[in-house]
Amino acid sequence: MTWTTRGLAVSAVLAALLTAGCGGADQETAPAPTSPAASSVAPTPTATATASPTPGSPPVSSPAPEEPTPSSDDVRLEVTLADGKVSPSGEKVDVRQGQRVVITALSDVDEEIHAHNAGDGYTLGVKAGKLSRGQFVAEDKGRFEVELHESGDVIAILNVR
Amino acid sequence: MTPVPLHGIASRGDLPLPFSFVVVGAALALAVSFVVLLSTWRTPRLTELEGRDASALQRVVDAPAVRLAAAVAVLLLYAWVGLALAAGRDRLTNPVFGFVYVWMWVGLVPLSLVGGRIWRATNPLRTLHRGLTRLARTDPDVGLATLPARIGVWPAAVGLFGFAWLELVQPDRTTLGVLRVWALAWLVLGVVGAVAFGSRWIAAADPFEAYASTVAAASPWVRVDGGLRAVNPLRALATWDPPPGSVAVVSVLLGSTAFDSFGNTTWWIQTVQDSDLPGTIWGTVGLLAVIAVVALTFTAAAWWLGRAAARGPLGSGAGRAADYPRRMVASVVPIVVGYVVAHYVTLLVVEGQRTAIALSDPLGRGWNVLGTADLGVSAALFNYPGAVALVQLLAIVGGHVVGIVVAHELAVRVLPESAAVSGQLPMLAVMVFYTCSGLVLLFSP
Repeated sequence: MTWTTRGLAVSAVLAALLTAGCGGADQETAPAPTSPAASSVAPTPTATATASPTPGSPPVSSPAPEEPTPSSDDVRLEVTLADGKVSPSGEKVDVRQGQRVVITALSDVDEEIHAHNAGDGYTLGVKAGKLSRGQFVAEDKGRFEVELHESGDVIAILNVR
Repeated sequence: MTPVPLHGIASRGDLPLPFSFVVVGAALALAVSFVVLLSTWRTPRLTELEGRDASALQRVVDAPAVRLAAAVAVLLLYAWVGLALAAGRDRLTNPVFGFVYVWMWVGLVPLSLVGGRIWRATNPLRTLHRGLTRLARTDPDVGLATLPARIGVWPAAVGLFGFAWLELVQPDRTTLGVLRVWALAWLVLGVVGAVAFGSRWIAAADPFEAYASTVAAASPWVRVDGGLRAVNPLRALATWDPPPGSVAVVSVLLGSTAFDSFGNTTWWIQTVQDSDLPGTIWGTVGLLAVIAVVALTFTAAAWWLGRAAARGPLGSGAGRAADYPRRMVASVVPIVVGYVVAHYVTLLVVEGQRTAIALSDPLGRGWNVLGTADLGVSAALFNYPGAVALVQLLAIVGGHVVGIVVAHELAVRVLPESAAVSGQLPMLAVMVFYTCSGLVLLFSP
């Protein structure tokens, strides 16, 4: 009972955050993100992985200096974890070798996202309630899982060609 | 960040089979099946083993010194890996994980296909048991009780399911604690059972030996009246008399390999992750379901063939229909081999190298005992996904063609002229179903 309510609340916060992010210019008013890195995120409207450039969300005009400029060529993976359920869930994502994979994540618990990519793998720490952002370059061909470390759930399967 | 693989034995997998390959493979499988069924031989052709005399080779492989040296060498290898299991570090650089999941589980297929009954000849359980009986001055073939013949390889089928469950469902399967329990169970059940029932128990109950012996039925090495011969593998298969329980063994092998791929489909991952039931339950039920589909379809098709055979030239000599699933097992062995090659060839090549490297340092102390520690893993295979896809296609379709030929041969031996086609049509349909499923699963929807 209680956790269901909590899940709903988190979902509402997620929805609010994602909607706020879509506004682009209205980013300063987004409630939760605190770090400059998080506020420079421009997620696509739906919380799904998109392998193609999204015309609706142009790059933010003034990104933080240390952030590489978001490119329309990036593969975006927008991850939400609420109430123990992850989205996207086991989705197949086509990636070109050398393409950058940008992950944004919002979760109601502390987690870690692991992207296997041949050698050492990539890890993105996620704090509960905070929008996290990370990226890596898909350097090797093959099939790689992006998964949650604690629960082991598979977020996406990257088919790097 | 320390450059240690995060978890799972292989973090890099094969790209999906291109859809065009799926279509071509399915069309080929279907076409070849009907050509074999409708326009090839109608009388048995593979009843004689023939082949070439290999007595020169036999003098070497049967020499007591060679047998002993091979058995001891393999036992030492297992002891070395056992050291890593008992006292090594609990991380993926420990060689025991790759040894069990890659070298043993996958490696035994090419080893048995090329080397015949080499697994049985060097099985460490047998070596241990022989050593014990030597100490006790007893006959290794005689235990405290006799194992009934109808037991066949049923215990091994259960053991194979156990291993498949460990490999595909068991949480934390790549941790030492979990693997120690399973390895100890394998060792104790194998050796204690052999003491109780004699060495015959190991053939009946050791899942790895039963798997290896099943694959070895498709190898060219056959003994005829004690003499080693190199024969056409088609003839080797068509003259093989599978032990009781073989249907369960091949169903577990084919079903678990298929479930490994099925578990990677987006539909399955979503269903499991969006459900409130634990993934372990989903995995167990899913694995059992796929194995059951294989077992039921194969049993039904073979039973149908057996029913038609009762009206055939052999009459009552054709045997009971209920015995036909076992008698037809040889026709599905090549499909099992094709599945395994297609699914695990890159795993064997790439992770197999990693295991060879890790074996130099079983305790994780920076040793280089075998001189392999400084070698690098070549993952170049992954840079040629087209070549890998071609190997996968050839393995699946090749396994299918060999399987169809063997099934046809076994069928024409018993079927009456009136049911020459209809009697084997369900078996052919089932085999096409396995092959197309294998291709679609490699496409990984």
